[in-house]
Amino acid sequence: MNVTVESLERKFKGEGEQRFREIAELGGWVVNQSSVTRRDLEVPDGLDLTGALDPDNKEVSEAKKDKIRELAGIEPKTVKKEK
Amino acid sequence: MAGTANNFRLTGRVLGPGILWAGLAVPSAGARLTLATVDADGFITPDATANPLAYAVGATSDGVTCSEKATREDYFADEIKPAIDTSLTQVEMSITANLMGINDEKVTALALAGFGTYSTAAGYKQNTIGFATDAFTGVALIAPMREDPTKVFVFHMYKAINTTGMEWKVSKSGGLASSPATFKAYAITTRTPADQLGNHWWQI
Repeated sequence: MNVTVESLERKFKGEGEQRFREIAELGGWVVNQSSVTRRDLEVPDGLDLTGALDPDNKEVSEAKKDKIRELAGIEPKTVKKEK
Repeated sequence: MAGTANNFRLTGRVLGPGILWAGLAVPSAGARLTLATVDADGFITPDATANPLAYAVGATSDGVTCSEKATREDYFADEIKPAIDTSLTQVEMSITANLMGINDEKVTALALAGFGTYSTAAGYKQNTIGFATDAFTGVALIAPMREDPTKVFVFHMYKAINTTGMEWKVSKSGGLASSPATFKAYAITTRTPADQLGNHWWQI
């Protein structure tokens, strides 16, 4: 999945820039920045969430992956309960 | 005494042609360009959902050259002839190719980033030259691995721009016109220092 400020704004009116900033920090597109906007990333082609949410990606914790899903409006991962 | 095992290190050979892509999304920390499965033509391409703005840059006259370089500064002691220390001062990553689609609007917009403006109306397409806004984009080469063509090598620059403009020769001989391009990577400074320009990786 891909997100940009514009795509997030379409889903969550008035919150696009804020959600984009938080996703960028959670996914490691941004490190140690107190304030980040789309212009800080300066690449207009969006953030690729697929790799960030990949189960094999150990650099993004499961808690951060869940938060990214919530911010991007992605259905949460279903965890099968063991009988 | 036992000898050291020889190894010609030929695993992971790359034999083109590959395909050059632009408009690519930026991967997160710990991730790489998201790829789709093999398409009908036998190529592995960027996943369209993860990279909705991606497009193929098109044919080249003689393939694509990928480059990763570092500039070092050496330090000397007056009493010692060889350099005694070195430090890395600059890092560069680039892709060069001679692009053949010189009248394709996507190619010209990419090649003229920062100073070309495209427009079209009935009967024409044009690019005006002047001052425009710099437009960086993600650029990558995807090429098949020699031992297993279903696996690929990827050379990906997260934020790049063409630094050479466009130049092409129109002549009755010497081949079809093509324009040399050098896409240079620029750091996304908010990323972790070891991963600001791009990556190159291969499937195993």
